[in-house]
Amino acid sequence: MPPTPVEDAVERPRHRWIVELLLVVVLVHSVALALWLAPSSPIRDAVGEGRLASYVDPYFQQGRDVVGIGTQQVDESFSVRAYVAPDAGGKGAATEWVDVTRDDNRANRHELAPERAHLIARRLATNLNLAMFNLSEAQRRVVRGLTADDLPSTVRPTLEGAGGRPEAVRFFQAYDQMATQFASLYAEARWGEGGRIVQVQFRVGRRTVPSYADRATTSLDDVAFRDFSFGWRRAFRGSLDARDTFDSYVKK
Amino acid sequence: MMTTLWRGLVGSVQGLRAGIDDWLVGTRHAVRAAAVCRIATGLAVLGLLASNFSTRDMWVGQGSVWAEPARAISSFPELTLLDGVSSDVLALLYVVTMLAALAFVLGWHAKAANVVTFIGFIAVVGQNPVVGSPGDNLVRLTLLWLLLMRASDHWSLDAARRSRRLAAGKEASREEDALPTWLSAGLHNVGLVALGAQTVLAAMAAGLDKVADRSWQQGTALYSTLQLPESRPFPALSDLLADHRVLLALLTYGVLLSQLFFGPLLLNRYTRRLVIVLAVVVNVLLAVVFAQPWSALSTLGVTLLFVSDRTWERVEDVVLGAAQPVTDWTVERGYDVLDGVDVVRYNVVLPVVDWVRFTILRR
Repeated sequence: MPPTPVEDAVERPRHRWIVELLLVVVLVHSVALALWLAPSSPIRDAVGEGRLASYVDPYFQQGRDVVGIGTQQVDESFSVRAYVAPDAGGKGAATEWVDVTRDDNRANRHELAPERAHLIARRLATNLNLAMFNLSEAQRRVVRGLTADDLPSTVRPTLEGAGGRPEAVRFFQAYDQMATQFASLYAEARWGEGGRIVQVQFRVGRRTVPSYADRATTSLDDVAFRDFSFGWRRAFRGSLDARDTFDSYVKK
Repeated sequence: MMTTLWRGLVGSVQGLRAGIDDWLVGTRHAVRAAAVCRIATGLAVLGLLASNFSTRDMWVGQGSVWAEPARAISSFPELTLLDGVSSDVLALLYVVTMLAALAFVLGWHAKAANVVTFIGFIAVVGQNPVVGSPGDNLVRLTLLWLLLMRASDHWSLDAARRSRRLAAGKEASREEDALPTWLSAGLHNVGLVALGAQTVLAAMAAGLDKVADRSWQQGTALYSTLQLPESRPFPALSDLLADHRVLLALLTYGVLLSQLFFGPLLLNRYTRRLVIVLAVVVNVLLAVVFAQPWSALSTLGVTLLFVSDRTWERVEDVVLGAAQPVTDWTVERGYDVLDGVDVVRYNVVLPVVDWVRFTILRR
């Protein structure tokens, strides 16, 4: 005989609502995630991208690329050079450009599990290129004119005054600072023994993989990088530990 | 009429709720699949940390001081654990996280190991967001949902200890008996739903993103990625795929189909097998061709969550059956070794001890 509703209820735990509530929370979370990941639609627009981002971004940070692999068509490079002043005094000189990404690619060859440290230069190049794309033409002109004497606090109002979005300026300045510090520590490890690193300069290159249709006639090696050189930046010293770490890494 | 309709509606809702309750708090589902997910995710964490161990100071230690602006906008509270710490403290926490990941893989105090691995993983990997991988998010979210689940009911040291204790007539363990059975099962099943939903959504979103692109439709999308220096660790293999039109199309469509149709194909038992096998093959290839072993392994972990427990039982039987001669041989050799040790003890060690006692010590 099937149980009556009363008997049936008695057999189940009294506080099962806790689990039911958790399930509802998970389902609402999944719907929010689905909307976040879905292509643009009236439902997604009704909820609002900002509202979805404020829920997903801080902790869940789920994108459309967490599984598998995507298409990448752009090769990028990050090169560094420094202005070195001799310890004994006298006029300093600029070093040759060093393509850090090329060294990293060489280190990653035949590595099934490449070290993340060898991705740094490539990621800096990608983000600097992205930062430049986000800026307006007028802002890019400002960036081209920046020198080692320009402080970030004075650069920001100048860039914001040149139009464009404030987030784009913040993004550019963050990556400009990161690239400057990375280039400085790299330069110190590479050329520091020859004198004092006074200023550093970095440049990013960008080239697109030839299309599949042209594969018989053109390879990526046939395509030259289109370089963008950022101005000289005042060298960042960093802590002794940071310099030691770069020293052992660069000279490895 | 309205009353009858209302009663029918109420009855249906009550029936639905009862069905959901039975599924939720009755028994734990997919416990073997959860164990596989635990092992794969733990191995992904362990592998990532081990392969970056020698350059950890450069990646996430003092050498990553330049990444501070990227770190500053991160909202993970776990990052404060390694904020500005010395190289020694970093090494200590790094090794603790690796040991926790190993314990998680082995299922040794798996719940505690899950907590430490989760916090340690975010604290370490989050220190340098500039070189983070999308796969890191998958690992982090999987570890998060596994916290709710009982992932060590099978193929774990916890399970072996539980069996021994139960065979001896003792309680399983205080750690596992802390919650009522229904609540433990409920939490496990809710975690399973969340992890499953997240996996399906992530796969389908990736597939939808690709399908609109012409190069994915033409089966040539991966050609350009295969040309990039950082995506071709084994140039000969990359060239083989890029130059061979059919192989390239097979891999491209394999990636696309295993993502776009992942959710719908799970609904039927036969197509489910097909899509899981396809996803496994594709991820193994991606791991090797693009040198992404750890993110591929974590993806495999959540993909295999959809293999039924009955299938895993069959796999277990096959593996144990195949391993039986090996284990028997090992045990027999073990006895041979023990016999050998006894022979040495009686023929060499004890006579020497007796000679020393009677001749030198004169006792």
